[in-house]
Amino acid sequence: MAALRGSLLGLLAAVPVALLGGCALSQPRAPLSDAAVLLAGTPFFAQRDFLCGPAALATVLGAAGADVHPDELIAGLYIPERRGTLQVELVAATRRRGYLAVRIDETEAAIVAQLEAGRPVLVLQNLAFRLRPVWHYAVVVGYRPDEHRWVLRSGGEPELATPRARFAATWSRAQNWGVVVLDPRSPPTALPARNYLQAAADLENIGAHETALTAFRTALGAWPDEPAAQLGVANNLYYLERYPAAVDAYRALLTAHPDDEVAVHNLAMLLLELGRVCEAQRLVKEAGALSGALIDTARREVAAAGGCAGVAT
Amino acid sequence: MLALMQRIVLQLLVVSLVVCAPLAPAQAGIVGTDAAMAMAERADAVTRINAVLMRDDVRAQLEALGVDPADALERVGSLTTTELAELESRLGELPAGGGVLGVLGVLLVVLLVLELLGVTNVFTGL
Repeated sequence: MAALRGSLLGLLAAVPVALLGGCALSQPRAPLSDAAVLLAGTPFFAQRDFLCGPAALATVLGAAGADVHPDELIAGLYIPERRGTLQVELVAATRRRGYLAVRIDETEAAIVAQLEAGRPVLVLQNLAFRLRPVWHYAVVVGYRPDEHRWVLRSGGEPELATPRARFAATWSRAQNWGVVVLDPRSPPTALPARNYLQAAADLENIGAHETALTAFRTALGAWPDEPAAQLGVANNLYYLERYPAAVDAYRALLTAHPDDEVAVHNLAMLLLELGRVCEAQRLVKEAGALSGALIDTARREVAAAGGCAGVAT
Repeated sequence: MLALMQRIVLQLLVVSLVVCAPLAPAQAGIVGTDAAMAMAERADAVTRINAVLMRDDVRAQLEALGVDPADALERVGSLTTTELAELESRLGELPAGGGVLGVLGVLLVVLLVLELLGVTNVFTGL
């Protein structure tokens, strides 16, 4: 019975997969954009040996305003035994220098959108086969619609014009991985809010709270209604021990999103830490209609803090 | 044999203590932005999936298979984030319109969804 069920399900699963497989092979012919774009001001560092990672990262960091040479990046990036650089290391090196590494969506249209916003795109390519990969980092700096070509800073080539189909094949063999590098003060135009906020949250995770705070404030300017941006501002103010500003930021988030569980929880914890038990009590009381594990925790902690010693307001 | 098992368990315990130690906050602590975003994303995924499971044709197919749609909705809430992502990609294959092919397509996807949700008694009738 179980075997029959397994094979039946296998058969059923194969049908939609086969249909999808057919679609993925067709290549769109229409150009991605009408106008050619070339970010001619992007720095160029000719790659030495197997050092495409440091060269590509220095290129996009330079475009974002950092003054950095690939040689300075080698120590932190290059793994001699692997003769290369891992994607996570590239992203981590970007964060260490106080910049955001934001993943772009996995489409060619997303690359064009970034170029039009003035940002070169660092991409990973597999120049050989899936089973015997030859990994390579390059930076897309332009697109020529009339020729159906991308323009790349790649290896020793400052402007390598690669046919679109060839690029699509090498890029898809690397799961269409691409990032752009941003100064945390630069507006995140043409980027999905989620991807940008994730990059900012990653800065918070490694303890780069000043940079994270700047990035979340930038995000808030671009997406004023985004609760994660407001939370990021408040949380990083807290981590920086700027408590009065943090309280204000949590309150601003709660004004816009009164049912935000995380905001209630974090503000309650902060108020308790500051010894402002009365305010914490009032906060969880006002959140009476909310439920959830975080609200429960907040209620428990507030109750455990004992009576409200100050003047009830 | 037993001693070996004990050693392995102890070693695992030591490793997990080392890994967990820095995560335990000194104070009650706040929820980081990263964790909050993951929570919100999960809630959004559940909402999107439930909306699809509430679709008339999907409900009809569930009922035809003897599954209470309310049970299916409840099970969605207990899936891991990875399972939710897989479920969403399956539901993305649902045909939009009616017609014989549409009904057949809905049936295929619903069967796969039920397998994922662990409602396996659907197949006892086969």
